Amino acid sequence: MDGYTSNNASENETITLKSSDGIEFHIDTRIANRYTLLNNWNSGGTYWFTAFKKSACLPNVTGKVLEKVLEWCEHHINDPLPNYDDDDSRRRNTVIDDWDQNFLNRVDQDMLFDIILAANYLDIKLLLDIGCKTVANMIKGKSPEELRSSFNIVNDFTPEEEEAIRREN
Amino acid sequence: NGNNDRLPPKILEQIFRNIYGFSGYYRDAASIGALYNCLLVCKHWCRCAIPILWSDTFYPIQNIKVEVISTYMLCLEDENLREIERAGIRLNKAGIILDSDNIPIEWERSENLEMLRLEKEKLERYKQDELEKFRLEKNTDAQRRLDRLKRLAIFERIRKFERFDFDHNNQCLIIQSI
Repeated sequence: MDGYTSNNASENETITLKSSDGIEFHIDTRIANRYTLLNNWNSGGTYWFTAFKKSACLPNVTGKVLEKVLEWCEHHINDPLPNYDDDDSRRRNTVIDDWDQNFLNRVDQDMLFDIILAANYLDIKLLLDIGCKTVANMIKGKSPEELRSSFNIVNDFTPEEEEAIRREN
Repeated sequence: NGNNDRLPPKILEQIFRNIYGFSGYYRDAASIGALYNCLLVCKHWCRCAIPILWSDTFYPIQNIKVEVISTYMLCLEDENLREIERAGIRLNKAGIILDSDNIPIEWERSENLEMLRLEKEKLERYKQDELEKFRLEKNTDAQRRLDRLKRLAIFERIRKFERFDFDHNNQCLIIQSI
């Protein structure tokens, strides 16, 4: 292939992502190019590539979740790429804009966790950052008991262990 | 088992970092309290939160109380404790630093390294000038200042053990000197 066609093609070309439950999504290559891992798949750099060119299976992500993640990616398709290299300074400076806030507020908690896990798995750092920040805001101001009930967590401490933690920290 | 380990340690740690504040940033009592509440939620959360709660221990506390130091000392390994004792700092059984009269010492953050250096220079000069006609005796002003200097010097060394890591496989804290 010559340089001309591949250059031109990258504008409209799509790649196919297949969720764990078999739903296919055709995404703009520009989205894939923004994120390292997707980009690797796109350029055929990893073993994730299936026999069909430009399509990948995501064994860990369901269609419902992938749809939300891609909705977020679509919205941010024209954002300037963040130029923080190291993770810490990027995370520190992450602000949740109104659209993102709204986007994450509309999903239930289960979906929020799934989105965070998918963002982690797909290496979409900014989405992972705002997801973590959102959960952090949910945690603030709650007692341990309130945290357990709102996150559906079982208290697996014995009273003695709980006492020891209080004493030691 | 509920949602206890729904989020892997790496992600929980990032969430807790957001609550506690990133290193070098100001944090208030409320954010430390919020992270503390996370310890008591379940074992998985506790394992992830403890290393973060104990990171950056001396920041932004202005007056370092003796309890902070002694708790901190309990985390040090035997070899580090021996190093401290070799430097002339006396420890009691609980790891509390004692001065020459067996009184626990309170550290003040304002005694920074610049002051330490100035005082050291002053003392050096003083020693050279006065050595002939004035012998340093125990409990004199100069001797007390010399003791203090030694302690501050070791404090400087303790602070180098600031970096914690948490070994999830062995469930133990790893303290690294930096």
